[in-house]
Amino acid sequence: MPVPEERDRVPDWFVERLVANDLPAADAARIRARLEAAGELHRVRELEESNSAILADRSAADVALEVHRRRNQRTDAARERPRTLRAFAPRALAVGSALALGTLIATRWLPIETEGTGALPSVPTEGSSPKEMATIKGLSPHVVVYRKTNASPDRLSASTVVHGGDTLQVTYVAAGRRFGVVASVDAAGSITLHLPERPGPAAPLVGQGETPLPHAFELDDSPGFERFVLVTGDRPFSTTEVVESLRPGGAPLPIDLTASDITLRKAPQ
Amino acid sequence: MAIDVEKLYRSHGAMVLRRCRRLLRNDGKALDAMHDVFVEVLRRRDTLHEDKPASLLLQVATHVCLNRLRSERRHPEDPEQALLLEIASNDDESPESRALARRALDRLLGRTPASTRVIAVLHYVDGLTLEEVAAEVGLSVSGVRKRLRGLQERRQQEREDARA
Repeated sequence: MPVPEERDRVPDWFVERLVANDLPAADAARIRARLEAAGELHRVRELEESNSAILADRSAADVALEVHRRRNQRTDAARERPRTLRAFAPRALAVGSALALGTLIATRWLPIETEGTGALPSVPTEGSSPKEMATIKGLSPHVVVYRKTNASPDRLSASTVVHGGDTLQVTYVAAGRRFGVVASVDAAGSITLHLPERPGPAAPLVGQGETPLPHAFELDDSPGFERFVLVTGDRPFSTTEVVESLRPGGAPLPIDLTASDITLRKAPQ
Repeated sequence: MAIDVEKLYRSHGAMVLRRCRRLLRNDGKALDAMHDVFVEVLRRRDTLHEDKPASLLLQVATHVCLNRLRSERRHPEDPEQALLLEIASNDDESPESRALARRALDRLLGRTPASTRVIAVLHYVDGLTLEEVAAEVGLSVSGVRKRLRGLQERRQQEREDARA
């Protein structure tokens, strides 16, 4: 690649910034002086004329409409998209490894941690169902998140700050519930299904202790937070019911489904 | 940060469109890319804190256009376009840097260093000096020089591999 020589010609980059009134005053004066010295002040006028022509050719309203259409289209496409396509890159952790992690984790009473950041607070949570109380005494369905480290897995709490690139393993405790959905939602409102990974019927739940999801995930670097939600029930239900409840203004969960969640704060980039 | 797309287009849309036209050499593709630049800015509105966003918008436009050039694999029409295509095809070095490149847009909007490809376009195509590039992307001059040297070395290695 050629190394550019020092040029007298002011790069278009700076002329654009000058016309956009984007340069600090001292830099603007310097660029203007260079243009004047080179007899190139016409470049400023030409850009101003070009601005007028472009804005006359395409209205701001039309552009905004198209931008929002594309934005909404992509947001819709991201919703309910399998994990592998959006917020997480699948980590090359074998199912066996994930299961091995699960076996290392002792089954015990773990408090459910919530931060109430979405549409779910109105949903009945643990302890609200007599039937649930009859399943496994003292234990409610809940979701647990671990961060993989070089040493032992680090169990995360709602106060934990996570970072883009962290490898997370999500587990659930069914506490006797038969069907479940694990999903996550980020600060932008993008919803990702983790169990099952595609829209459809809720997954049959297994195990009496913590059951790891088949894959660990690498957390992306979208800002804000990542909220993991486990919704369980004793009847078959659909992922759509969960996704809808997570959308702003969406329908609440049916009364016979139970939700628990944990919200992890993300470190600013 | 709330972003008024209409207002941003009125103040900077023509500049973004010209940038896309210059890099893509096609009015239709440039218009399409311009819309995507605003979509990206909208998507990352929480990290956009600029009162004077022209530099950021130009960098985002460069990033969007490089990605398009990379996928098109067109034949260059002149030396500048050949250079652009060469930069666009670069894989942004090491695994670590590839991870950085993956987040290049976030970094641009978060006022953290741009990808090596954007830096290369600013220096080799736009003609900014190393000092000017450093100021634009928030790196030290030595940091910019190091990035560009790595890019040169990789291209050289690729050429040697191709010959072998």
